[in-house]
Amino acid sequence: MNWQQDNVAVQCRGVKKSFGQGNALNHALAGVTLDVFTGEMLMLVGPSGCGKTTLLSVIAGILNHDDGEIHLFGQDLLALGNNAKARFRGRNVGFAFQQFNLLPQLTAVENAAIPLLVLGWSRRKALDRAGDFLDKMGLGKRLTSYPRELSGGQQQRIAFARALVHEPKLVVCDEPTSALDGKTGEQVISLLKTIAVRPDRAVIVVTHDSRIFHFADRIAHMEDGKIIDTVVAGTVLIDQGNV
Amino acid sequence: MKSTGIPINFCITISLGALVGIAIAGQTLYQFTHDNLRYLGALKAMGATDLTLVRMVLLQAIVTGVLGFGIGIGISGAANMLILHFTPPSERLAVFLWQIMAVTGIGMIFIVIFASLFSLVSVVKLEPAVVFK
Repeated sequence: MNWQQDNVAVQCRGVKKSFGQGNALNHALAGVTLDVFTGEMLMLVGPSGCGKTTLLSVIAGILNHDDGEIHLFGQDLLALGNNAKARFRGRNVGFAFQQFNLLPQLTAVENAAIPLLVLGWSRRKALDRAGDFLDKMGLGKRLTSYPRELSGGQQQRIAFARALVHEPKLVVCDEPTSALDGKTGEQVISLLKTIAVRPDRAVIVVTHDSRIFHFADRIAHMEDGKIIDTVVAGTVLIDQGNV
Repeated sequence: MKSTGIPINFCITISLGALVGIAIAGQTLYQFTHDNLRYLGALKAMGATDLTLVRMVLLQAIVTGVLGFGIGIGISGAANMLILHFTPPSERLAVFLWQIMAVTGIGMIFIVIFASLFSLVSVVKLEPAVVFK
């Protein structure tokens, strides 16, 4: 199979992942087959416990799958050792976490600069670049503020800046609006869509927040560890209570 | 040395002090690591290698150890000067040799390394997927 295709960011074939043993064995992923393309925002939706976050974790390379194949921009993730995988993630993947995970001891600009510092950039250049990104996010006047001094929406924008500052080819977001009110959630997702989605980048968002479904280019529905269908957003009527 | 149990008691006290120091320092450092696992996991997810995180934990342990060593040596030195000031020359027993400082410094490094072992192990074994839980 040709794993290196121009517009394909992620290729999953029969991906399986289980946790526990014996009677407690849980098949979190039961054979997932999915392609994610550059230039799109794909939303993974489904009921709690269906495997969305587990799938996001294995795609992003922070969790090893048990069976099947995952290729990120042509790279087989299982072929990399832990440190090589960490370096691959550092260059190619940007993360936005549900609880933001901003380091409380660092200012906004220092938090946003972390991926660059991990890549070995000098502190000055990293902070300059992070400052530019935060400016794009509308936080140019809050560079030296600490996370505790900022609202949820502002913290999420710092998290997005951190996810994008090193120009990754894949951005993964886990429930990015769950800690935000409806209006703020829509604003940050709109900002993410505007800034993050590019022809050479893919964005995957795990969410069960139906208020932001309309921002997706495609929606992949998961249930019981499998992708049951993928739809182009807007081609089906999305019932807010029952996707 | 041969007539009383003072040297043995002294050695026992020092050994106990070192053990307690390792235990307390280790517990404090482990607690810090445990409290910040999410952030360490986030750093791992963002590409920090195990070596980078190990260096972070060791740096914290060493800085703490050096600070404690400095404060301890400072207080001991000040106490020694006070004792010498108020003691007639013929009765002076307190001796503050550079060798004592050197041995104490080596002991501090030993304590720092052992105290940080549990933290280092938990950092290396940390799965970055913890940030998505």
